[in-house]
Amino acid sequence: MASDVILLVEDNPDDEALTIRALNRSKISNDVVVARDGVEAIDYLFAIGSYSDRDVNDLPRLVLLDLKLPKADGLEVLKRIRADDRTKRLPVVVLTSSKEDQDLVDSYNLGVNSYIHKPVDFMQFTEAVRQVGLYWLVLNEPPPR
Amino acid sequence: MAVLMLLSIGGVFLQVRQQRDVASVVTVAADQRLAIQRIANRTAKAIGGDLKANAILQRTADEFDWNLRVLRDGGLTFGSPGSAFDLPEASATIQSQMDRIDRIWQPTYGNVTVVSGAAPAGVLVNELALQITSRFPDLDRALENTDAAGTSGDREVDASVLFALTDVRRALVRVRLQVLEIAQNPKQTAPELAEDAGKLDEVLRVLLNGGLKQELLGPVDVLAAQWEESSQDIKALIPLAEEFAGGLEAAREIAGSSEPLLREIAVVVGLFDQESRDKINQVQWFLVAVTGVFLYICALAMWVTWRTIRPLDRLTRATTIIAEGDLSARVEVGSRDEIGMLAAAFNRMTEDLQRRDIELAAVNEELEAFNYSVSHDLRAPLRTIDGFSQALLEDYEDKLDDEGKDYLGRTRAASQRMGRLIDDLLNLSRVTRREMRFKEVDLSAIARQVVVELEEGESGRDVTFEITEGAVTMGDPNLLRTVLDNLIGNAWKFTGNHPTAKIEFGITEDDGRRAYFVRDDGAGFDMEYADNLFGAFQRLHGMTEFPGTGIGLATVQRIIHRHGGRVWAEGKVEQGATFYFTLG
Repeated sequence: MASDVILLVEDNPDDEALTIRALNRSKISNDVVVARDGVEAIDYLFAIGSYSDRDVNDLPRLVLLDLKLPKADGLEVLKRIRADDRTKRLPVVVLTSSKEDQDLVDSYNLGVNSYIHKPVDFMQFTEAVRQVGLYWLVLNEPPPR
Repeated sequence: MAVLMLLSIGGVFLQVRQQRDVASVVTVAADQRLAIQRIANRTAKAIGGDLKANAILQRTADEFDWNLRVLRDGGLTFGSPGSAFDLPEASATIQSQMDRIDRIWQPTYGNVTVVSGAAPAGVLVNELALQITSRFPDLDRALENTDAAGTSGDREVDASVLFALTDVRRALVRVRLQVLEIAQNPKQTAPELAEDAGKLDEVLRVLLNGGLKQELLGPVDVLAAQWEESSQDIKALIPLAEEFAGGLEAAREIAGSSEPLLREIAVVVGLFDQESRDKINQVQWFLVAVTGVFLYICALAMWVTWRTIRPLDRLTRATTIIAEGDLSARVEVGSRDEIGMLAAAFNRMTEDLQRRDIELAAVNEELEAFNYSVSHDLRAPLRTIDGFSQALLEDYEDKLDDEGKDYLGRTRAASQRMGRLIDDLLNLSRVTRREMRFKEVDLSAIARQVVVELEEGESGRDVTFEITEGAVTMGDPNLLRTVLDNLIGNAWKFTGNHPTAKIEFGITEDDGRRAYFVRDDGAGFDMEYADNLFGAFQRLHGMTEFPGTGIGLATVQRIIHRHGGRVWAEGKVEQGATFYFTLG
């Protein structure tokens, strides 16, 4: 059973609040599940650890992934997602403060679908989140379940 | 070394010259001996009637004489100060020996002239003698007829006539013998022949005038007539025979002198051989010694070179390895000379370099981490400040008065400006760290792109652009794009307060090198502060006048320096600015 959940992987509560605010203001009404580090994100996705009672087939519609995370970082999470048959087609958008070339290259090498740099200006940030939501949740045709 | 080589070469040259002189003298002496033998030989042949040998004889003698003069007067300079071959002791002996040879030679040379003059006479003597001899049978017959006439007729022949006839017979026999012998012994025979021939003439004349009886007169007349021919020939023969006799005498003397001449020449050659052999031995030993010393020096030089080169070679190899990036390489040179010291210093330097390299790597790593941290962590709080200020403005609009809204607006502006500063700083640091990718770059095309973007970003400005085409160079396309972004962007920005503006991108020359420039007619700057233009965070204008972080030109300078070029500016307040740069 597919849900319309957005998995937001973000350790900074301010950024979490701002992202959710931006989603709300963009009239995107999907449920948002927040994972505050890489391990929690992996637990959620593969229904293990504290999420072991979850249905593993119930994948989110979209993963918004920060790169700098405690425990396991974003690239590690991305690697695990792409390595598993169940999750390898999952749309993952990196949403990060980093503009480092190396992060971009690594992310694309690991098969990220999109890479968004978080602007400092909240107006621009809201616009970026709105466009990402619109594109991946409305315009884009998701892979068959 | 060079002096020694010169000495050796000089010595060798001298020895070679001396040897050559010795050889030439010995050769001439050998030639002279041959000539003497040939003269003796040809003399015999010439005097024997061989006229071809006679001609050779004279020529050979002339050659001998000439050679002798050369040897005595010009060739034997061995004792003289300038001589190549120093044989002072032998020289005196050789000189006196040459005088002795000359004393024997001079009369011989005269005799050769006599012989060669007399040889044709000898031939004529032979011919005449033969001719005379051939007539003797006729004379014999005439004489027999006379005898027969004297005895067969009247028996009582006058006794005086009989005696006379006997005299004729005797004389004829003697003449005959003398003619036969004259070619062999002309000196003795010629006067006897002349005497006997004269006596015969006399007897025959007396007989014919003595009133001979009729029966005798005829035969005697025939005999006289026959003899008359031979008598004429004999008269011609006598002087020739005398001349020939002189030639024979001379030939004998030549034959006699050839032995002593040969002996004396042999003495010279012997003297010369001995003396020169000693010398040549010395020369050879000298040559051997010089060659030995030369070879020793060569070997020594090679050894020294090898000793010098080997550590240098090691040093070069180590340097190459280190230059290729392996700082762990060391030079193994144990010698205590300058090269050993150099190697030790080089090793210390490399160790130092390696330590610094490790330190630098650590610093770079920290810097990377710092950059990442700045990039990620400094921006997040700014976003929070900006985001929640905006949230306040939106959600609590009705509770905030205008002053509160203004404060929040300032907060947002400051955080956004901070964001731009962070971006620019990261850019500046990236410009230094990023690896360069050299390619052919068309700066004119980049300038056109920059202009298009500027015009799209802020329409309604009246700016004329002049871009020189064909500014193609080698460089990193991304970095050079940043340069033109900044320079043309600045020109655009600092002409913003003017109603119209002109911005140029062009090519010029600086000290023989190609230089590019971006020129505007905008706000310009005071040349007094030109040095501050390229420092980070340095600004010559107020924030309200022209916005900016003060990092753009610092970035430009770093990029130009990384290309091995130079960047500088000229300007005047309110009269525009020109930024020049070269690339490598």
